[in-house]
Amino acid sequence: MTGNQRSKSFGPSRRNFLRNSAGAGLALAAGTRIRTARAAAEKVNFQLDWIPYGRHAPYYAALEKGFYSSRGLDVSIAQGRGTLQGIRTLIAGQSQFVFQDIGVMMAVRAKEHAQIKALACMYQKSPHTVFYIKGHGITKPKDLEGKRIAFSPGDSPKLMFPAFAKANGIDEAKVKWLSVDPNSKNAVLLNHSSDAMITYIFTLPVLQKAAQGGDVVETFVYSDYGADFYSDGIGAMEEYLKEKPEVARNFVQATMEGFKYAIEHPKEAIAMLKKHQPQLDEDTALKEIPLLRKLINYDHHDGPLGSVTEEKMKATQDLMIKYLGLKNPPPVAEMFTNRFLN
Amino acid sequence: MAAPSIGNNVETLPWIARVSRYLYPAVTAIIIFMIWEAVTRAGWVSSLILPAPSAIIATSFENFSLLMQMSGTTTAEFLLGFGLSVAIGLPLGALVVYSKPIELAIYPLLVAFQTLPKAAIAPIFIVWLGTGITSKVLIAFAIAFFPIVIDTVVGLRSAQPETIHLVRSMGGSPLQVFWYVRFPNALPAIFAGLKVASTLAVVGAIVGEFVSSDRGLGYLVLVANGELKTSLVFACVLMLTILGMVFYFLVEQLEGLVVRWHVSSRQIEAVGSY
Amino acid sequence: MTPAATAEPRRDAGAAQRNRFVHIQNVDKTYAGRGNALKAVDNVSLDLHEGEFLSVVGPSGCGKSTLMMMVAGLSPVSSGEIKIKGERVTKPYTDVGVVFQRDALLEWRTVLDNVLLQIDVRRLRRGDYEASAHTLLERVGLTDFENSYPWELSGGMRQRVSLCRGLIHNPSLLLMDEPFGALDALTREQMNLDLQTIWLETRKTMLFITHSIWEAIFLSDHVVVMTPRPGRIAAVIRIDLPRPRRLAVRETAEFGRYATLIREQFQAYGLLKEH
Repeated sequence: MTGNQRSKSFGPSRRNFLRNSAGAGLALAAGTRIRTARAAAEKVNFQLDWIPYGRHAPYYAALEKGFYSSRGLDVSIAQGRGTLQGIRTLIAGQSQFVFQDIGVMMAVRAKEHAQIKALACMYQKSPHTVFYIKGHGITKPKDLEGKRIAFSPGDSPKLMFPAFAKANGIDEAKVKWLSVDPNSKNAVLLNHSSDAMITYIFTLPVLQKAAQGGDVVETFVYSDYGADFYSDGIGAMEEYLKEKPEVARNFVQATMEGFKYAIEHPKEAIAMLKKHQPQLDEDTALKEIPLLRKLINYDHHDGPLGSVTEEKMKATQDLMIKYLGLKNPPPVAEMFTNRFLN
Repeated sequence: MAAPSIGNNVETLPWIARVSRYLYPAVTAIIIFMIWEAVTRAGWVSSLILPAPSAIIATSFENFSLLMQMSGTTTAEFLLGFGLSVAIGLPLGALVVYSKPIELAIYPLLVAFQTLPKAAIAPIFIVWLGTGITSKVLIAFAIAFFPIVIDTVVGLRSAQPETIHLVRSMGGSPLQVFWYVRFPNALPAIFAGLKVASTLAVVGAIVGEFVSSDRGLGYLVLVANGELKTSLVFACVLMLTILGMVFYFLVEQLEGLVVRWHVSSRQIEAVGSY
Repeated sequence: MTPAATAEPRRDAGAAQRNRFVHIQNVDKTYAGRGNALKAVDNVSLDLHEGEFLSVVGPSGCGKSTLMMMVAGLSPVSSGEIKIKGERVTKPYTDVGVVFQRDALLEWRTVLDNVLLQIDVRRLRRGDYEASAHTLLERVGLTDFENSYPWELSGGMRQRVSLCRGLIHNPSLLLMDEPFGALDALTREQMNLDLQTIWLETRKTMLFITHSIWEAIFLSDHVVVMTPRPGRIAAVIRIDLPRPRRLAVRETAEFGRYATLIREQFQAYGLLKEH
């Protein structure tokens, strides 16, 4: 990954020459980490899936530790409000990279013919979870029939719910859906306005901490209940990748570096996140890091961290076809690439 | 007699002026739609972001009963919210005018409440009042009632002093002064407040639905948005616009009946043309 | 500042005493200002006899309107007392017809309904008064406009409606505060003639406030001249012109004498300075 380091401390003519001649091909072939002057940094918008929480610490670690800037990237991290909104910004060109659910990327690619590609997968197991409060009539997934579930429209847990439902014999028509603003979902569950709530497993520490009156928060994690698939990863448009492959490579590699750093140094990473999100509760945020570690298979991964296997990609697609009625599925091989991880 | 002739009817305008009143906006709208249709058909804009008008119309028809059902809920919410804001706003305005202690006590609170962004407190309303229709009605009320109070106060205070002296010299009680002079005189201002409130009530209902709901046009916007059904989103927005406009129009018609006498309602026949 | 009271003695002083319809005794009116109190009316005493037409003339701010408001009971006296028909005035006096300079018509009522407002507020039966309303409006030439709204009428027409409204309930006292002040000169003269005609028919007791010396002389039995603020009575001048007075009377020597008398009063108080 680190080849010859070309120092640019000479005069402008040398810098210009290097800039003009380097180009995409040279960088790709040499795998060089090019040190560019600050003025030449590539501006990149990276849209997250949600409001930044502990699970997003890696990206802020990458930012604060200079992993992006040292690769010539001026990255702006934007918080998101759900999968589909994020994917829209990608299609509209407002962001160059998104952190979103891969299954949904697949669905959008099939439906809208938008050429989105997954570059890495962070949540290698589905973190989608049904949260419920113990002792109120729910003990197994099928009990969700006839109950109210709070969800946020456009969210992948809702979009992927049919897979969970079919894997557990739940008649979806019997479920009562309650649309809730993302920020109010926790409150709505905890004050019993809804019987259950779907979001990512990461919310568990927050819910446990805020539960009142001795309520115990329980979970059905999709991947434990027959609906396992690739979830969130980094996505970008094909066209952009063709145009700026070296930027993509730098971005992906810097991000993975950030991941490693965050998992090895969780407290520091959370502190870096807190700089950008002052309202963050560090204790609950810290509890998300071990969950993150498991999801990205930190201790047991084959191939580079975050890489995607065709096999599981196919399994994810099959799930989309079988349970979500995905039509015109794109060829699996076109859906992802691991080439930027090396 | 030297009375100026003042016509109050559209029929007195020459026919071309009458037709152009509808013709100009209609033609403008058609041109905009044609450009919009062309741009989206040509694929310059992704249908995820902006669907073609033809697609929106088609979706509206396909989902007609769903749209009607959702409209019913939202309409109930903003009508009730508006009704509540009138029922509370008008008397409150009158109280502020007639009681100095109440004015001093309540006025600053009203202003403070009004400046509070309702989108910020809507989640709190939901927590207090649950996710059903009550919270939406109350959010709609909270947004809509201030203009009614203010305009009622201004209206009630704008009576010509001589008219009040006159009624008093006729032996009129304060209630009679209110009934014969202050209240009718206040109606133009009150209606101005009602018209503003009518649009705000719709906004309030949708804000409430956005925070949490299981039905209504706001709910449908979110869900359709979440399922990438952009045409349906626009169809909902279209429906909301129509509902809002119809409501406003109805209030305006009522105003026309009640307040025909006010200078703001009169149409003076154009002398000559330009 | 010496009042030159050149009023001629009443021929029937005794009877006048008994007919003392409106009795104003040592009336003051003081407005509490910011720090300084403002005295609008200073120790005014005046009697208005039944069936008499009395005008009060004076410069702006001399307190004549304030005086009328106190007679009407719409404004309390600061000291002194006002009695109408022997009863003290402590609240709005209702056996009265009031006409202000601003016609104060209700814009949302038709001309007829505006006249009948007098009846509605008093909770009398409309049916009993509709005929009078029609008659009064006919007298002032507004029959064709009975169902029109005030904004469809000119200023003079509106004031005529106001006049009808002041008469419909047959009050024993009429109070008019510069009723023709907002009208143009020609209309004003016409209104003076109309008012004279109506008054001659009904002989109501009239307190008439005006700026115009000529209007006062033309219409009245007595003209009271008030000083600039604080308003006091400078003179009470009896007008002995035969009625009905025609417009031409304004060109007579006698009229001129009265006018001179009043003008001299004003000039004695520093008004109408000639250069």
